Amino acid sequence: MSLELSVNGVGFSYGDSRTLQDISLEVGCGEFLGIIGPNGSGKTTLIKLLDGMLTPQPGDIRLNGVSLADLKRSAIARQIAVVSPGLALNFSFNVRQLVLMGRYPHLNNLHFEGDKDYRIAEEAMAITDISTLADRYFHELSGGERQRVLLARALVQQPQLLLLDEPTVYLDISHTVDFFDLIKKMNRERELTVVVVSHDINLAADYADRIMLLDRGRIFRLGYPHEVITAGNINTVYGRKVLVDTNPVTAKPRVTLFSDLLHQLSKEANRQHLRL
Amino acid sequence: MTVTFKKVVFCSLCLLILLVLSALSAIYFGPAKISPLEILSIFQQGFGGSTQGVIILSIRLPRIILAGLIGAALAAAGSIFQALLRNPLADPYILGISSGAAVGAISVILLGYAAGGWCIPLFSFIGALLTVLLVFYVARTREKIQTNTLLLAGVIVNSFFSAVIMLLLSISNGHDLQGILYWLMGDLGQADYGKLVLILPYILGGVGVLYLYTPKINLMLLGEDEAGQLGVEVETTKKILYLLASLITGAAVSVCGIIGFVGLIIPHIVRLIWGNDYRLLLPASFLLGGSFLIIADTIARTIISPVELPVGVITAVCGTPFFIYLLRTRKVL
Repeated sequence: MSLELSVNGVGFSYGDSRTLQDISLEVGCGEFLGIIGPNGSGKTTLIKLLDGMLTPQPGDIRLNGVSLADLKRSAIARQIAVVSPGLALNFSFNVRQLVLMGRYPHLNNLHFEGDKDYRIAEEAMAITDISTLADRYFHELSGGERQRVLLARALVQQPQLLLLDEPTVYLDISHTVDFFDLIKKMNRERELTVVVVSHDINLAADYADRIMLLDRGRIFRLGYPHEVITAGNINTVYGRKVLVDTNPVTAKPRVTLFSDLLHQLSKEANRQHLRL
Repeated sequence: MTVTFKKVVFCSLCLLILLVLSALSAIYFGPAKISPLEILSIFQQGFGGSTQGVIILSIRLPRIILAGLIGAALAAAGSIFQALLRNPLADPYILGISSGAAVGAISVILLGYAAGGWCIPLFSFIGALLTVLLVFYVARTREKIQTNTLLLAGVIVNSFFSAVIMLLLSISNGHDLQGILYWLMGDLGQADYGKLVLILPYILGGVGVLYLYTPKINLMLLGEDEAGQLGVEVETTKKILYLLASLITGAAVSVCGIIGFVGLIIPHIVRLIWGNDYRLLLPASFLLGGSFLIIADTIARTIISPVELPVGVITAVCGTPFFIYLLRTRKVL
């Protein structure tokens, strides 16, 4: 299956202030795109636009040549799935029920899941390693388990494009790597196109093929990780001095935060050490 | 916990049997002692005939059917409002429908047109519909209905009409006051087949269409963004849920006044037993609500016979302890 997402001159505003402006890009089949940028640069809004939950003004977003605005929600949900950072439930559901809900856009008018839907759900739960949690209530799970449930539900939608909005903010380092490894594997093996928003620049650099750096609602740079993630670009957009070297494992750029205060303190500590 | 078609059919059949059993036993109870055998022969004879025949066929039977229908309608509507507002505390009256209907009914009583029997239902239904439209209009911003705005609009309209009700109560005389109070507390005593035929299409039609929306309702429980991402047209769905649940509530309230607790408690009892999947929750609430109100009304009219208690008293007294028991024994909603 092929997928082509093209974003043409898209802008968006909540009320008076412009949140996004002049966003244009093409996402090809099987690509892994990382979106980074400071708080308020429009990352989450862009994800909502890409999923058609918000309508761009001006510009349009086309999925395989058809404008998202002309597609029904269920047609979009068969092709695009989203994993958001947290889900708070007022009404309890167990894990299997929640995962099965991802089948909704594929259900026929009878409204009940068939054997095939159950099989797809069990498979997704096995892939995301939550089969043992199937009968537990969602609200009893840890943050890491919850995110894997939401990922399983997204996979059950059998999307061609997976949008991830800060999917690992509540996860520890080990779960974060597991989560992204899983996504990368699906991306490689099934040609699943992935767009991920992350505050963790290193994570984005390590896993994404291309990086988009947003600055106050505009694309500051879009390109390969080593083109976008430079000390100069990061300093300009985030207003923070950083050191960029190469990650010895992935050969991708690696960002180290630079704090003037800590730098000063460690220099003083060094001097005292020498005097002793 | 997962809901299959088989499970829905099986649970609905069980609850249907419960409904029929409670209706059949309710026919037997009443101030006039009529034995089961006599009841059987009355059913064979049909209308016309003895006083006992009139009691069974023209007084008890329509009342029992009405109680079942109203209980079913309120429980179904309550479950929908809980989903629409994503609030477990919602009941069918939360958005002011009841007080709008009450203003209509009380106005008719005060104007002295109550005698005909048709005027109160008609005007309270009009009052309910106007309230529904008013709340909808107030809550709408830029073609969208925000749940919190809807709740706020409902509460505001509700308190405004409550003030109007207080005003009307304070200027009414003693005779009218009793009629008004009975209406406000919910009264199934005015049942006849005409009213049944009048509200049946709204309630059955409304619940029938709502059933088609149950998979969407499940997703709406997760939140509007989630529902949209999973393929639900959120704004359209919200409007349809609001209008249909309001219509059902309006039809129910217009013939029997404000019967509380059914719409809140029954959906929760079903939630606690079978979970939150509306494909089962809606039909189960509908059927269980019917049985519950039939039993409550039978108790209300027989417990200190020949005096009848308002059925709302019984629904609250029976429902609350059972609800507390379920809440304490099951940890999650």
